[in-house]
Amino acid sequence: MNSSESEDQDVNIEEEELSKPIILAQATKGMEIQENSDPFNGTFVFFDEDHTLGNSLRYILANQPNVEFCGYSLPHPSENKMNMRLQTVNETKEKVMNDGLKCLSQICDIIEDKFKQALEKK
Amino acid sequence: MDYHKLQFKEDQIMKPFKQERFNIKQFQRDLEINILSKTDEKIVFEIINIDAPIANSLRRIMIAEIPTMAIHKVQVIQNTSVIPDEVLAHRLGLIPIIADPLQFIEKDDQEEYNELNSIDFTLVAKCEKKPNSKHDDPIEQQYTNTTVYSSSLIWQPKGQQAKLFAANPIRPVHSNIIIAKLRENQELNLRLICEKGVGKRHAKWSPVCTAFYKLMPSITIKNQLDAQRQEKLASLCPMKVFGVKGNQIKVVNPRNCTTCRECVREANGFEKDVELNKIDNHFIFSIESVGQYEAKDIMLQAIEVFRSKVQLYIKE
Repeated sequence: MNSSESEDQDVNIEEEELSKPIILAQATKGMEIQENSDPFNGTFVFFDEDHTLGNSLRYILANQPNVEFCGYSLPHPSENKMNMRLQTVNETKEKVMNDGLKCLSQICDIIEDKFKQALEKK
Repeated sequence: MDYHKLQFKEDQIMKPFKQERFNIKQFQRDLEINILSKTDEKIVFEIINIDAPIANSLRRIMIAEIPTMAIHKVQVIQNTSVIPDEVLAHRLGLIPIIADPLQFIEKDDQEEYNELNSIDFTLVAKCEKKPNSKHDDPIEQQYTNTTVYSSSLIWQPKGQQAKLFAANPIRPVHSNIIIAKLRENQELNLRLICEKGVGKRHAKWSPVCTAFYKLMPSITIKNQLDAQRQEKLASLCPMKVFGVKGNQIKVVNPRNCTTCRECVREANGFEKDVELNKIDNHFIFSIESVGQYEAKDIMLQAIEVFRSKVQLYIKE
């Protein structure tokens, strides 16, 4: 692109930078743990999640055994991140989180079965 | 004390607090689902012994995370109507399209359009004078295409689409949606491209007119009332929740209650006789579909989306 090379003598933008796509929002999903120093307490960061997963997962975790504290927040509405704080006793936080997720998955199965049964009855 | 009764006073919610361990087997035993009414477009059902966060998650998914197809890009070849291009494109995006979204994949920005990630339509309409028309005739009879309806959207199948959708061709849900109005010599010539998306990205992709739930009301008549007061109470309620049978006033249609609180209003004189509460684990869902899915399929899809959301993070 020859025209822009001669125009921007004052502006130090390189050609390569201009052609890189600007990532506006995290559209890929994933989960990581912030500063994984303590096996029993930690903050899980979920990407591209919001209250839909957050509130129901928090509710399930808060009623699981061995959980001392559980809460979630969305740090900023412009960022697609959800922080889930989990503090446990006796079991590692990863195991408790995994158990909570499995429990939530079982709940989905149960609701689906009952709904299908109800549809057959009608 | 009933731990599930929510008492609403004028400005506060009173709920007895009881923290319980979550027991999945008990959840399976207690969960009850009953279908109250069902058509292809609208389903009303109740879920009993479920908790608010899970019901709310399902509701949020029904509105925002079930994929559908909708017009996303509009190539304007000719638009001499009074509707600006962008307004026309906005209107076209909101037209619901019947196309099974499970046969398509969401398109990346960098990808090319192909038969798996897009659907093509054309819209061609020109308003011209009909040959044998008189000045006195109404305008629709003098000219062709004075109003452009969604029936003018013509699907252009590409690749394998014609075979795949032979049984259920791709078309707008309703053929009588007015897109634009034209007068003499105004013309529309557009190419439309549909993409798969979810309601979270733009409301045009939402598969429901709306999906909502309400809590089951719990209305009790605490004191004995004489016949005259019984009649007055029964007539007070605009939703006919109360009925007088024999000499007894009974709550006959608790599900109709819209919590207008007329029965407990101080001015009406019954606030000491009627108790109005809600049961916090009994949800009455109402799902009204736009037309791409059957209403019951929307609930089944929502459960599926919820489950796959959760399973993404499970480490075996």
